[in-house]
Amino acid sequence: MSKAAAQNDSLVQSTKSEKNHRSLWQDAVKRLSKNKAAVVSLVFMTVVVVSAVLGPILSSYPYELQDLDRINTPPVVMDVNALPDGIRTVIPEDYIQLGPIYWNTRHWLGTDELGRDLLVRILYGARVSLAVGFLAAIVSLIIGVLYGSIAGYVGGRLDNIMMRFVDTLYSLPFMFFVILLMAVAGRSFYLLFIAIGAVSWLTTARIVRGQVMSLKNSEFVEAARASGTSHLSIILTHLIPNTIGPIIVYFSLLVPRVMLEESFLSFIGLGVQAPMASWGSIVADAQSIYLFCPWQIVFPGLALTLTLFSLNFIGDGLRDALDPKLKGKQ
Amino acid sequence: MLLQVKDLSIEFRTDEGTVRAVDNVSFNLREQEVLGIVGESGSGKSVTNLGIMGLLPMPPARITSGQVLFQQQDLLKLSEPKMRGIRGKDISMIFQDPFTSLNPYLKISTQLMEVLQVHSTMTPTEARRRCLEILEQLGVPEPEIRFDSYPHQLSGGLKQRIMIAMSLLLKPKILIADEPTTALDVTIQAQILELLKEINEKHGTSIILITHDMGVVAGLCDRVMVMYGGRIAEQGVADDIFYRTRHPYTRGLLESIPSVDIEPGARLKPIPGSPPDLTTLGDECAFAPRCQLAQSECRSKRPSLSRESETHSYECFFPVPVETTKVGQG
Repeated sequence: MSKAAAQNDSLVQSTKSEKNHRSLWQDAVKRLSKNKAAVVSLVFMTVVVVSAVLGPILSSYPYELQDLDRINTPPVVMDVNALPDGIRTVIPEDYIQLGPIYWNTRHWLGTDELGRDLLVRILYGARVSLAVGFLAAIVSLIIGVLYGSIAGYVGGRLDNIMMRFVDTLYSLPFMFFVILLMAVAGRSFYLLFIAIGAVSWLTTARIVRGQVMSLKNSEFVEAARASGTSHLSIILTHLIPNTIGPIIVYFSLLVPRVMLEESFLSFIGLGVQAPMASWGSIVADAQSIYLFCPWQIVFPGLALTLTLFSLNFIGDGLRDALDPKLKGKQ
Repeated sequence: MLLQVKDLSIEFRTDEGTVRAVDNVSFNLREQEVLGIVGESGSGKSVTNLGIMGLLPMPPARITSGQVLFQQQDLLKLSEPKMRGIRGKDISMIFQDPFTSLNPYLKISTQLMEVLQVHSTMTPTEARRRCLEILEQLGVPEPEIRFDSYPHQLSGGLKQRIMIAMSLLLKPKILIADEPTTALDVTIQAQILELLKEINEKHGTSIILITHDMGVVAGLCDRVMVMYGGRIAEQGVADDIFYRTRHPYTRGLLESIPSVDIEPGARLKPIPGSPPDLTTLGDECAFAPRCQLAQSECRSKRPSLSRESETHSYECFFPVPVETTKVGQG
């Protein structure tokens, strides 16, 4: 072999080995970073999480502080000297003029009908909504993945019994079930996760069961069995990692769904209790006067919508990034 | 005698009726021997071996009779945990398709080390060293890099080498190779067969090679078993099968092999008809409907085992006369 050829060879080999050293997760991060929507959503979610954690700490207004002199103060007004209309209050010292508009410098996003700072309440509500969303989704994911993978792997009669149980639960009106649970067991904040988590694992279980059923006859499972691996570790190390793609996608849809459910429960008064706030309860508080004070419904609504949007984009990006079969096809 | 299979019968219950996939099969495997099992699709080759490994899905499969003796114990009567201790350690298996036999989500290292974790108390460092040692022995270039790769980063031939490495990690006494080269191209096929031969000679591992390729059998096997319709049509040492063929089916197989010295334009001699429907097969010769030598007796009674010599036996009433069977090898 000539010297040049040898050099060429070693070059090929060194690029090869660099390529081989990249792990699945490094690959996934690389692919995720190429997905613009996912990156923007990830940045947005980071901002939301950081401000949800820091905002209420840094703010000079506690979320439950009522300032009855400043009920329903708008974030912006056209004219600070206009006569008060009996619903909104405008205190001229709070506002500065920029162009034709007066901006509220004391309460950036205005106040609600008890004079509480809306920005702090939204940030505090973000804590509650995100915590409920993620924790309840994780609870339902753990139950659903274990249940579904056992049913799918064992198959036969056990699968039949387990899945008919799921069907039975499906046929129960689930909101009714949650409402009943909350009413009977008291309105505890933690019960909220458990109640939502306990009823939303059904779809996870079905998805995972289907995946596991199609995978359990694949040759790598047979190969693992032929080398003496036990059933439990086949489920845990071989099957569940293979279902991670659909699970992540479903998780990314489940979190926003659970957040919506929490908002709904809070909206009808069964979720978090005043003075605690969640995005749903803030909207609920505003429902009687939103025509006069649209900011009270627009800002929490916007926060909820944007968060749901970005969670969906992140889930979508993660699914593409985590699938080794999609490697190099994007 | 390393492994003795006695009167093994395996049935599958299906909606169309009971399929007798393996019908009273008996054979022996000696130490350091390569036994070839040949037959077309559905002849019961794979089912026999899955039965030995205890990997048949039950139900629908059912072992209706027989014994599999290995180290003075009947493998069919062992409990699942005990059987798990034998699989991968004393008897291991490699599969047809290396592309699907490795879990795409796990690194090669994880999958190789799993076998050692199941069967031995090696520390991770020892296990890693053992894996690298065996990869090196099997001619895997740059074993350290391959060890940390994912399956999709390797070629088919390399994947099959990894599968072979996985099955050899614990120096098993028996290696069952279920069509190990079917999914590979011809040059890689030759390399893998060469490797199997080397393993047999160096480590003294007995190999059961399942294939439908007579050429593979001729190159590698000490003894050959021809299966048809779930029964053993003929078995003997390689020379018995190739030069002293007695069963018409074996002769048909040998004649249908394309050869390089065939006249240009000449046609191959296929075996007319198609494999038997095992749901309706009763007490008659399974090959009778396709056999040119068949007579009325063949259609009413299953032929008993005839012994030609110490090593050579067949199931046929009207065997092919010895002198007419000088068929060239493929």
